[in-house]
Amino acid sequence: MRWIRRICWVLFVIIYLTTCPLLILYALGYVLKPGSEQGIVKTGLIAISTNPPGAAVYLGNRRYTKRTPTVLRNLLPGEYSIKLVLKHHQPWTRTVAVEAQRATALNHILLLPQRLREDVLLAEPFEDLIPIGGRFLLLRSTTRTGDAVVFDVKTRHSWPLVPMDSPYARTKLLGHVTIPESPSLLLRISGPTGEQLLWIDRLEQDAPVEDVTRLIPKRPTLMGWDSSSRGHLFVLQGNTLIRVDLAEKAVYPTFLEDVRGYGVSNRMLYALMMDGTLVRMDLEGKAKERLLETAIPIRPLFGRQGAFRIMVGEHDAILFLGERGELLAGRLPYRFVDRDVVGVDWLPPNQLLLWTREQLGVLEFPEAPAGEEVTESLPELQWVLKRRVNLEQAFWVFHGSHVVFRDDTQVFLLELDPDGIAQPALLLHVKKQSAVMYSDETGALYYLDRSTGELRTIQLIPAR
Amino acid sequence: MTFRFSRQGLTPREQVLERAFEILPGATSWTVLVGMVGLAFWNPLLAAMVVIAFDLYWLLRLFYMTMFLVLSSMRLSIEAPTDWMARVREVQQSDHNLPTPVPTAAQWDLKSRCSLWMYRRELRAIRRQQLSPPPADAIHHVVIFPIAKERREVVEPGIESLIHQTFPPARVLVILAVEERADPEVKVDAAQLQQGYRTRFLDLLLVTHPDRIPGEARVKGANATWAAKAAAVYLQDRGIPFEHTLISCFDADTTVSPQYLACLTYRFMACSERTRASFQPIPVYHNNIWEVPAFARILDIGSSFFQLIEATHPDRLVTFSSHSMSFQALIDVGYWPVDLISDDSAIFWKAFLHYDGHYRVVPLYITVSMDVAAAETWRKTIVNVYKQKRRWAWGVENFPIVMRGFLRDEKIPLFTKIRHGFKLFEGHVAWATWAFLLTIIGWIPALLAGREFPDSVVYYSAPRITATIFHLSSVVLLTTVVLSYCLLPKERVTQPFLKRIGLALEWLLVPLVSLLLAALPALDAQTRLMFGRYLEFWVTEKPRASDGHCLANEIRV
Repeated sequence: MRWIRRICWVLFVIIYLTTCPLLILYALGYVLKPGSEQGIVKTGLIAISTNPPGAAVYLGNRRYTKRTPTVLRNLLPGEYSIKLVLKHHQPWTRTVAVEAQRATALNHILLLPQRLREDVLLAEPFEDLIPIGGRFLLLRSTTRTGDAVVFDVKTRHSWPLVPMDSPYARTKLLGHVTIPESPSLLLRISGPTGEQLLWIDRLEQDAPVEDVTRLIPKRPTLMGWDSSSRGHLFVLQGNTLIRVDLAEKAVYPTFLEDVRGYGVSNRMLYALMMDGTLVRMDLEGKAKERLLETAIPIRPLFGRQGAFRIMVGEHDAILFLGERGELLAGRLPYRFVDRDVVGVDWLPPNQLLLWTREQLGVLEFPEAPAGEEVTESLPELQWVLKRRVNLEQAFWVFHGSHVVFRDDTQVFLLELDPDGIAQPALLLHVKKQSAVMYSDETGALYYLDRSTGELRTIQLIPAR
Repeated sequence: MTFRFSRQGLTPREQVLERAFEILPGATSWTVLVGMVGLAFWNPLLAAMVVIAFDLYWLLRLFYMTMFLVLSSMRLSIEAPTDWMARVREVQQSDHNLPTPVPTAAQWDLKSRCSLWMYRRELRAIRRQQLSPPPADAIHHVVIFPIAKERREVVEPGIESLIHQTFPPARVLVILAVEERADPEVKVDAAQLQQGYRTRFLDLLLVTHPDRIPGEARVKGANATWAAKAAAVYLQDRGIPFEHTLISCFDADTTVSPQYLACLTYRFMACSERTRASFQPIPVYHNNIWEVPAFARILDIGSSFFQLIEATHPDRLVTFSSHSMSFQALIDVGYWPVDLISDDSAIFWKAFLHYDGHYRVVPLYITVSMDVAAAETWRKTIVNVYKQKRRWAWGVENFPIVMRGFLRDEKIPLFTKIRHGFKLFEGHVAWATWAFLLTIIGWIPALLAGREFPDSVVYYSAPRITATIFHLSSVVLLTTVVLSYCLLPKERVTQPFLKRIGLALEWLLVPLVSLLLAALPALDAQTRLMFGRYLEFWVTEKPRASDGHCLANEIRV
C-alpha cells in the first residue's frame, strides 16, 4: 500500500501544481490558442440573456451551439457581430466590443414578437384613459362621473367608478389627482352644490366615495400623499404646508410654514424650506432632521417663486421638479434641466427617466452618496432621444433595458444602448389625447385604440 | 527519551513553549477563517482565486482519500472471512518451517485468493527478517473496560463478545475498571458481571479506581492506567511475561468480532519489533446505528471511513478510540497519561517520544463496534454528538506536548518530526476550517462579485469552475454512499428499497453536519485550548434500546 500511496501522492501533487495555475489563468480569461502565433492569450466574454429565452446565437456568421441565456467565452479582444434569432420573434443584432479579461453583459435583451398581438379588453368606445397606481385604469367615455369605469389590469376586471344609484353618478367629472404607486384617487366634480372633491381611498369595486371638499383648501399649489401611508394628504398653499387627516377628518392648516416645496416617500415628509434647508420628518411632523449640512443657495437655483415637488430615490437621491419643469438635485451638480420637464420615472436603485416635450433623457446617480470625491461621481444626464413632437409619457421597461414612450398618438419602444443611440421602434397608434399605461407586473401595455376607442393591450414581456 | 507527557509540572521555559503551541492551532484556524472573510471583502477578486485554488486542492484530496477508502474497504472485505487462529498456529512455527499456504477448494474465490496472496507476502517478510514469533500458547491478552457510569446492558455485550472469540478465552484477562465515584448501581452491575463471567476467562478482575489521586485528572486514561497496573501485578504473580502480553483498552460499549483477538495475536506475532507497536482496529459505530438520527449516523460512518483511510498509511497512523498494544511497551512508557482527555492518541505519542520515534501503529483490518453518541431526544442527541466530537477534537491537546517533545528529542530525525508535527497540526486546522470555507466563507467572494467585478471574466468563470468542482465531488459522495451500504450492518426492515433510498438521501446532510457537528466542535476545542480553558472529561451517554438489542459486528462486507 505504501508505494501505491507514494505514487498517488506524487501524481496528485503534479496534477494540482499544473491544474491550479491553469484554472486560475482560465478564470482570469487566459486561454491557450492553438497555432504558432497565438500561444497564451487574454480573452473576454459576452454574456447574453434574452426574454423569452432560447434564442439561437450567431457570432458573425457562425452559429453557436448553445441558446440563450448563455456566455460566449474565450473571445479574443475585438468587435463581434451578434445576432439572436428566435422563431416568431424579430431578430436582434448588435456589434459588441470585447475587451481582454472583461465581460460584456448583454442582459435583458427583449425579443419582440414578429407581430404584436392586440387583445381587446373592453369593447366599448372610451375617450380617455387615466393610469392609476400602476394597476388600475380610469376609463371615461363621457364627462359624466357615472359613466367612468375602473379596470384592474391584474385581474382584468372592470366596474363603474361610482354606482349608478350614487348621488355622484350624474355629476360632471372635471379632473383628478393621482400619484405613482398609489391606488387612491382624488376626483374633482361639478355637483349640484358647485365644485366638489371626492376621495376614493382604495380603488376596488363598491369602494366608498368620500366628499372631502370642506377639508381641502381651494386652489392648492401642490397636492400629494404617501403611497405607503393612506389617509394623510398634504397640500401646499402659498408657502404653507397643510396636512389633512382624512380618517379623522382633521385639518392642520399650519403644519409647516415657509415651505418652498415638499414630497412624501416611505412614510417620511421631505420639505425644502425658504432658507434653502432641506428637512425630513415623519408624517406627524416629528423626528425632524436636516438632510444637507449646508443650505442650498435657493434664489440662484430655485428662483424667486414657484413650488417644487420633491422626489426621493434610493440612497437619499433627492430631486426637485418645479412648476415650470425645472429639474434640480439635492447635491452637485444642482441643476440638470432648466425647464420643460414633463415627467420622471425612477428605476431603482439609481436611474431616472425624464422627458420634456422634445427630449427623453436618463439621469444616472452614482451609487455611493457624493462626498469628498464629488467631482468624480457626479450624476450624469444623457439625452437618449431628441427632436420629438410631443412626448407625454414614458416608462422603464424590462429592468431598464428599454423605454416605452408616447409621442402624441404614437407609442414607441426604445432599446437603450450604452454605446450608441438606438432607433425607437413604433409599436402602435393610440387615441388622441388619451394616455397609455405600461404595467411592469403584467409586462403589457394598455391603451385606447385609435379608431374604436376600445381598451386594448399588447404583451411586451412574455407573461411570467 | 525520558519525557513527561503532560502539561503539568513544567519548567517556566516549558510552560512558555506549551502555551505557544497551545495557541498555535486555534490561532491558525481563526486566522484562516477571519483572513478569508477579510480578503473576500478587501479584495474579492483575489479571494475568488484563493477559493478556486482551495476548492481544487479539496477536490484532489477528496479523490485521493476516496481512492484509499475504497482500497481499505476492499482489504477489510477480503480479510473478513480469514481464519486468523489458523494463521496464528501456522506462523508460530520456526522460520524454516513456515508454511507456503495454498488455496483450498473453498478458497478459490477472488477474496480468498487475495487474502492468501497477502498472507504469503507476510510470511516471506517474516522469513526475510528472520523474525521469531513467540509461541501462540505463550500469548496472553488483557482487556480493560473503563467504566464511569455505564450500566450492565452497555458493558455486557462487550464481555460476551470476548467469550465468543476464536482465541482461547482462558488466556484472556478481563478487567472492569470502575471509577470509585461511579454510582452504586454501576458498581453492583460490575460486581454481578464479575460473578457471572469470571470463570469464562483467565480471570475477570474488578478494579476500582480511587478518586482524587494527586496528579490525576478525572479522565479515562487515569482509570485505565490504574487497571493496567493491577493487571501488571496479576501477570507478574502468575509469571506471565509482559513481552508476550497484549493489552486492549476498549470503551465500555465496545464489542469485538469473534476473530478480533486472533487477528491481533497474528499481527503481533508477525510484527517486527512487536513490543514497539500499537494495533489499531477499524472502529465502527454499529451498536445502535439504526436507532439514532440520520445526522449522527452519517457523522460516525464518516469517522469510520476516516479511520479506514488512515489505516492505509501506517507510517502516520495514530491510535484512536479502542486500540491494543504490547503490555511491555505500556509499562515501558509509564502507562496512559493520567491527566489528558485524549488518552487514545496520547499513548501513541507518549510511546513515540519514549522510543525516540521507533514506535508505530499496525492497522488491523477488523472492526470493533461501539455506540453512536445518542440520547432520548433529538436535541439531546445533537448536544451529545457535539460534545463527543469536541472531545475527539480535543486531541489537539497532544500537539503542544508532542512539539515540546520533538524540540527536546535529538534522536528522532528532523524529517520525521516535521512530517508528524505537520500532519498533527494540519489535520486539526483542516478539521476546524474546511467545512466553514466550503459551505460559507468560500461563497462570500461570489456574493460580492456582482458589486465588485461584474464586468470581469472572473465574475462568470469563477462560479462555473466552482460548480464543476462541486459536481465532480459528487462522485466521491456517490462512492461513499455505496461503501456505506457495504459496511453497515443489515437491518431487518420490511421495505429495504425505501430504507436504502433514505440512507442515500441522508448523505445530503453532509455539508450541514460537517459544519455544525465536526468543524464547529473542532474550532470550539481549539479556541478553548488557545485561551487555556481546558476541557473536563465528559462521559458519552450510552442509552440502550429496551430489548437490549445489539447489532455489533453484524457487518456485511
